[in-house]
Amino acid sequence: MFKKLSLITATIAALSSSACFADLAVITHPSASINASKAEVSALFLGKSKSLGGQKLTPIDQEEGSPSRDQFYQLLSNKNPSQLNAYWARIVFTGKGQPPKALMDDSEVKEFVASNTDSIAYIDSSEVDDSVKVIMTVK
Amino acid sequence: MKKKLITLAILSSLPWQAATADQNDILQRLEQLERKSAQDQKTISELTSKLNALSQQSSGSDSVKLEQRLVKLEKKTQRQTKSLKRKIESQKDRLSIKGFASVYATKANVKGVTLEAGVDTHWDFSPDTIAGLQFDYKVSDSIDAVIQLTAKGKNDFDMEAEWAFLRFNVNDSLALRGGRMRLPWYMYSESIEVGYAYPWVRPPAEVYVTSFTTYEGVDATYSHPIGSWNTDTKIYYGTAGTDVAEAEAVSGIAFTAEKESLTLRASYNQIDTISITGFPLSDDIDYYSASARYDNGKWFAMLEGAEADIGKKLPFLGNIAMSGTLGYQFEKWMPYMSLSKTYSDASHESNAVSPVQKVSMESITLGMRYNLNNQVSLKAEIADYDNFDGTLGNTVIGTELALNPNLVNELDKDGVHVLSVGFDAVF
Repeated sequence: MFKKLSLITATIAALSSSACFADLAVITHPSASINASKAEVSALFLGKSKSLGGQKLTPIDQEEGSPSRDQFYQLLSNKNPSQLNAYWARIVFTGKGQPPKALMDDSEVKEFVASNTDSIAYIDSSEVDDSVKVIMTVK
Repeated sequence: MKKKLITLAILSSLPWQAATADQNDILQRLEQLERKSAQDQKTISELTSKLNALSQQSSGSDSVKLEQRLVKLEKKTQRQTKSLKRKIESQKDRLSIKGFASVYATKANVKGVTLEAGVDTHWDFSPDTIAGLQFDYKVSDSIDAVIQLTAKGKNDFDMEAEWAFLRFNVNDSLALRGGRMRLPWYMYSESIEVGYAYPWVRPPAEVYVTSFTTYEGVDATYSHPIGSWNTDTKIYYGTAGTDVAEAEAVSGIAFTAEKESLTLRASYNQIDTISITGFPLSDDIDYYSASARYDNGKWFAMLEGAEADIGKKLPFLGNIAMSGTLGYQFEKWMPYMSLSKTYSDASHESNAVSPVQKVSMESITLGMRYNLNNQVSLKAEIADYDNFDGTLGNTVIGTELALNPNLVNELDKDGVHVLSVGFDAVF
């Protein structure tokens, strides 16, 4: 019941906020088989968990200031760029961890994911090709 | 005459002969020439086409070769750039240097009051100004070292290491640390110096002003999901000491559970045999805390409660502290309000101590945070501390009282108002 409700809310939220953004595809290596919710992917990128469905995954970010990154965290974690930095300030300066490694753009991210079986990232969905697998579309 | 005739005949015949010879010759020659020129032209055109073909062929093969070489070079350069980039990145990934800073001007109505640091009756930058630099070095895949150096206005900007530890990640769930670390008593105890990480200028004094902040020892953190919650369980053990107090042992357990916007936390902490400078007896203190935070990007809400169970031989009563904060994010602006309270635990009245050894304080804090950009936020805050009830609240330590013995009366009469304006940054 609760899951259904949250799914509906997530869908409504996704529909209502899709207007001015491109869709983002959450991608993994083609060999991975992962079924994950938005909250689980968010937890992984915020360093709260290290695996999805029992598979260890390393999240890959886009450069700070890139529209994809801002959109990704706003939609998945309800955090604007300052709030994301405030979140990581608390984690980093208590020695708990470091934010994910960031790569320059969609093509670099895609290339990395295509050649690293344990990686997960997000790119503009128009950039997706056979070298990676889409596990979720965020809009 | 004959000669003349012959000559004439010759003369007259000559041009004819010559003419015929000439014409034939010319025609022949012309024909020859025409044939030759046709041949020549054929040869030329053949040669030209050959030349063209040749030149085309030769220049074509050259450019193909050149192109191939270029592509090879490009690939090589790409490979080299990539491996160089990887090398740089792996080094970059190994060492991370990050920093934070807070610069605040504060002013209070009463001199000698200590929140985290002593505030003064004139605008003063030293109490809440701090800069920190953190170095994380990955020794190997499972071992890393962290050093955080901070310089605080309240300590004349003397550099000190609040964090200096070596961590061993046994696996993805278990991490062991050894060195100097901050005590994990409350939600923001460990990040109290990083203003950018929280809404206030300083976390509520009723809860966050504590006898110790750091310890030297070891901890173990076990991270594990429970259903859809991500949880952390930490146990720690070590020793702690400051200028005014010394503990033989500090230890405890802290449990944190997070799910989407919600964070729940509880901790139990022991200070074994604390001795206070200039006081003959020593005893134990137990701290309990529970916190809940909700932060969905728009609303920020936090509730925190703590209880200190203080051994009877110490000159303080046990106390209870609680604090609640509510904030709302309007684009870049976040107004927030906190209500906090601390009071001595009545069940300890049998200790029969003087009012100064009790604690009573209530505060209301109103503030505004403005995110200037993703690395700098401005804050302005007014905090009003009241209801001291003849005690010094959680605002004063002994040395300040010695400087201003009349402080108890001043606090009782006027309370304390503290204004703070400044900024926090991370870089």
